[in-house]
Amino acid sequence: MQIEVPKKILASDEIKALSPVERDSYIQSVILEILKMNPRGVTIYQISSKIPFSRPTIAKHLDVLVAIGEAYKVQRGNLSVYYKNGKIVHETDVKSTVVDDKIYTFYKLENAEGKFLYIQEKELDEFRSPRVKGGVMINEKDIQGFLQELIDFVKRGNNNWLMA
Amino acid sequence: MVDGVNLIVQEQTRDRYARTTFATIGEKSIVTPSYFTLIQDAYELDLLMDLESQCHPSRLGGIIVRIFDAKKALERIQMQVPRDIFGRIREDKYSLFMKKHALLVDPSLEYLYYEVKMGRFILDPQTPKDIVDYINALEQEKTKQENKRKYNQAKEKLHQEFWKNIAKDNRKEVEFIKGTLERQWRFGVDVTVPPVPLITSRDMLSVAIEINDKSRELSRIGKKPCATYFLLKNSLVRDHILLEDIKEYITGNSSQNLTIFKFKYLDLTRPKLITERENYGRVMLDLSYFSQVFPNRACMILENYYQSFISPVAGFDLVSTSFTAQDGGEISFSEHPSYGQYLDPKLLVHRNFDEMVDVYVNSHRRLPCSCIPCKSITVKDLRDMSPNDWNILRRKHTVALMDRWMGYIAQAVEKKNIELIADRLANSKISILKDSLPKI
Repeated sequence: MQIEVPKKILASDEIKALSPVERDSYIQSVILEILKMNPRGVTIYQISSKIPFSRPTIAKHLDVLVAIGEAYKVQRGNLSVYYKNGKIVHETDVKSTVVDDKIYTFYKLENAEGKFLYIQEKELDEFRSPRVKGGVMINEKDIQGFLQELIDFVKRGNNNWLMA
Repeated sequence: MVDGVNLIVQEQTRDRYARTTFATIGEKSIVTPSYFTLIQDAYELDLLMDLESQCHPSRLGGIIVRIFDAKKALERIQMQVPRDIFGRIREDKYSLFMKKHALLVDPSLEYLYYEVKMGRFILDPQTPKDIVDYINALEQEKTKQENKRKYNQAKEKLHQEFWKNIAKDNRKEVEFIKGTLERQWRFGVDVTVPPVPLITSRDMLSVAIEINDKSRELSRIGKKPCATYFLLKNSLVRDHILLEDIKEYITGNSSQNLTIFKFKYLDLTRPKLITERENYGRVMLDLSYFSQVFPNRACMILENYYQSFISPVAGFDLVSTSFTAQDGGEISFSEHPSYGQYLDPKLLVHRNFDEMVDVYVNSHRRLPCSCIPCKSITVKDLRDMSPNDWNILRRKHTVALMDRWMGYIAQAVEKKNIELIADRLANSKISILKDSLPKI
């Protein structure tokens, strides 16, 4: 099955002119855009047949995107299919809070697996642009229990952080 | 949900070819038509911030700084983030100003062709080596050629060769673009502006298109939105085939939400420029159609001089002119400053200080403007003000007036009566610019 890819991406020799960190950032951004353009999901093979990145490189970046919650993976037999992580249910379902140098954004998301609360941690990078550092997804049905566990944990023992 | 910053444009109201929009860049929001001002140093930034606290101009979208002025102009913004005793970020007036207003850094590579500010590239230690080498080669040529015509021909050739050499080598081109973009990101820009050449011919248009494409890709690294930028020699406003090619590119290939134009040194108030006014009007109308097809994209025009009064009526959502535009401003802050020109809010042209002295006396000691800086003047005679005080006043007045003008256009759009602008121009000294306004 054919997949959609961005019209003009940098050629291999142009990518080589970038530093390793820039290269990673660029490739990750291109892969994320491919996931966005293909809501039915993509496989590593499909991406590698369309763009000049090796399969291990694509797999590595897809894993990072899954780890920070920007994408998710569904196993279908031997095949891993990657999707851009959910769409926001309503426009109002986004809220950001700034704590010192960190930005925490809360999203109410919906994808094929169900509804989720997604908490994303971002940091301003050297160019003062927010960059995702990590995230946690909590299923809608588990939110109540999760919050209770969290409160119990921070209150536990002599070290009650809520009283601090 | 992606990391980085997105530029989102939403159309609010439309009256045929004119419109208002609401644009957001990350946390910042801009209502258009909107006005940006070009600042050259930290002093001008301070003036602008003073004005902001005095008048709260709602249509001041942001500031533009030329890349070689950026370090000096933005040094206070660039300083370490102030923190309180507990290490928490303490907001100062600079960070509060920049929270509301967008920042663009213009690579200003037209000065590799127009020599007036070329020296500033040399003074800037971060200028790429390729540019320094080019400027040195041009200097050598200058000493070699005694005849000005021959020198201009040699300059034209060197300029073309410089850009073709960059475009020829993929790796070199990527390094050149990335270097310029990275500098912009470090200054904390909200939208990246590609380092395109001054388009002097069709060949240079191809180079500009290629640099726009590569800049868009490279801006993924900085996670900032990237504009499409066309920097044109003023005479090219006559070349409608070239303008067609640009329109075809932005409608067919560019997916960027912001397209920026600059027609260098174009002043359409000069009576002789009949074809230019007609073609400029056609560009405005075409961009207006473009905005109907792609309502989520905005167009901006830089260094727009008196055209700033008409450009936001059709096609251009954002306009900019210099803080000191056409007011003799370059000499105003010298060691022996002189009294600069004042932008008359009714006639919409700059008037000499001596004229304003008479106007002030004849209007019962009032300037002909209702903006807060003008109303605050209480001197008996304008000559009692020092040149510096006068220059501060009239610059603040210019921004306040532009802010009011943008609001005036927005009101006309909301009332579905955009002809009000043409009526208003008819009573000014720049009524000739009405020729460029669409007649539908």
